[in-house]
Amino acid sequence: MPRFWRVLLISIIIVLVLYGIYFALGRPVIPLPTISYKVSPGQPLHAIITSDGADELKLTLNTSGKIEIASEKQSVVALNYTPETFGNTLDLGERLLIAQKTVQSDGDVPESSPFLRKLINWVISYYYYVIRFRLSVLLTALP
Amino acid sequence: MNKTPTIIKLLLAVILVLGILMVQQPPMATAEIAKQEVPTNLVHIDITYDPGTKSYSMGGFSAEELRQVGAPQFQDEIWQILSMLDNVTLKIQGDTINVLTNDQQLLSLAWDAASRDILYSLLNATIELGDIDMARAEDWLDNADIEITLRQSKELSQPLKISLGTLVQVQVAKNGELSVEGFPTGYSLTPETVELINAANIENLKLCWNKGVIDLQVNGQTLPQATLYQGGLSVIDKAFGLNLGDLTPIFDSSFGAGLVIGEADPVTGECMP
Repeated sequence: MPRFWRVLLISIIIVLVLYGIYFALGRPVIPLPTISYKVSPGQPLHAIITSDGADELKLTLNTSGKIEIASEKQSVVALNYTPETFGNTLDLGERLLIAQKTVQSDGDVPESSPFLRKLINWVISYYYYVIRFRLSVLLTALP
Repeated sequence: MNKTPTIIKLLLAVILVLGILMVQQPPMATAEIAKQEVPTNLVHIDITYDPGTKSYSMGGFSAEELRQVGAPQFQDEIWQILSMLDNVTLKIQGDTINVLTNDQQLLSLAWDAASRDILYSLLNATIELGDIDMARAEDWLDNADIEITLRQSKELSQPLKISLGTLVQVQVAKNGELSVEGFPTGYSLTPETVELINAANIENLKLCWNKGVIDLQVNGQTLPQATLYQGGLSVIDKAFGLNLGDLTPIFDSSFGAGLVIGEADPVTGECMP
């Protein structure tokens, strides 16, 4: 067998074995490093971040179907989604956006792109069913 | 044996193992959920009043909070009657209505389907309920648990308990007028909002609130489930100066609404978890 095919085959086997282990473990969420963002006084978010005295607000996207906003002390709001409900939200948002443009009659009605919708749905489904990540953004209020 | 067949064998083995893992079903609880016999609509309202200061508290809301939302003030004649009573309780549970005063039973009335039919007939003769409204009344009152307690006390009343399985039917007319269960509210949506809703082809909404958990359907399509935390909401309250007050009664309650725009069919179903 040529060297190229051997390397490819071995790589596929390694990927499959690793994913098999990941799957067998119950597809745990893989945490990614937290992104920090400083919010200066005067910015709209500053009032929200500082309102409970914690001076921190964390936005967490868990691709297994949860988006959560929490301060250092308590959870504020959480959204639980599935690819289906996410798709329904996109569909509603798109319809409202087109409706708003139509009502305003500014002649600039955005066109719906089936390819883009399919791509978004595919990405959401992939990170929901196949491999799951947790991405966090930590907003810190500057004094 | 050369290396190639070994690799293929290994690949087949891995695929076989993964295949077995993939088809494995997670252990699921198959026990049937016990049939709940709890009332569909539960409403417990506790009202405390003080004839001395002519103030009252209802459902855990203080007199001041009630004043802020425009709760009516009683006339002196009503306060005179209330001052003669220590407590009055009205209970509608199952097929009976009970009225108790000072912990003594005052009266008991049958409240079965036949009795309600007589009541609807009497009401229909005076205010023309109509078949639809009678069916709606039956939806609300069948298997209801309603308790209203009036207590002479300076204490804050007990928090409101509301758990409604029946959807509150809200209708938006073509001109934007809002009615609840067929009764006009006097509120209207702006023409721009009605136009936007019509342009987006939104025909109905189903909203369920269950102790902070919000389930929403638009045209029968389910949207992501949102959870509001009472402590977290106070963060938004403080940030925007909303003065929402004590939200404990709301966060202890569950109810739902079906909103219909124009001539669409009413939203069906219940909201019980």
